[in-house]
Amino acid sequence: MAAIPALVKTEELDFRFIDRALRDRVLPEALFYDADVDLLTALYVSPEIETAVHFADVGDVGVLCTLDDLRVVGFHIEAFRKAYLPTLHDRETAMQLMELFTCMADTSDMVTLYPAQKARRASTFQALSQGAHDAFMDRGLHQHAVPA
Amino acid sequence: MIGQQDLVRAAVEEPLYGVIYEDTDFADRNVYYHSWPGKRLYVKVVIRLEGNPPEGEIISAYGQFGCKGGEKPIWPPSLHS
Repeated sequence: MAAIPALVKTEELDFRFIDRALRDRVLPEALFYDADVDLLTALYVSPEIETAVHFADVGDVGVLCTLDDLRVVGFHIEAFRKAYLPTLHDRETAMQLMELFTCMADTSDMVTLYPAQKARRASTFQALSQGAHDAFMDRGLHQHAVPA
Repeated sequence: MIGQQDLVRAAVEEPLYGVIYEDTDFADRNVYYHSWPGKRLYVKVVIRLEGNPPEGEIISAYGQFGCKGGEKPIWPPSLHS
């Protein structure tokens, strides 16, 4: 059996945009949670922009990248409640997120609620993105400097 | 994946290398990959199986640059150890 080859390597990705956003504590432009699939998507650009998922290795956290310039613009977290939240190092944030996402019945609820929740729960959403970033980087396959 | 129904169908009917994978976190989900024509990309389709005999329902489909680590091949049976 031929293994499915990776068409893009982690080293090819441009992390400058997402690193700057995290450093400046910018909140995602859009946040989607599909409770049925248990998939969370955090996007720092318009959802209209076409993106694809890249996984560094094992693990449920992938990054979302633009197709034309491989710019990292968000996070894609599979098994969000089942596997990701229980392993989040920041337990307080994990508890807040568990509480928040437990009351979300489906994707449309999160889409509707996020704009209203954005400011009130800013620190929780910032911690969510930072945690996803750290989890992806913990795979140890990519080291990069935060841009000045 | 709006407007990509044909691509999703192709992934399920003719998965890449004929291999179907089990999801890393959910044993009742199968994963199919297919090349995305004209793009440096695969389409990944996730199907949830329910009932006996099992029936599949597509629950997710999106573009991905490679396989996710940890996904175990379950089809063809010769690959399933």
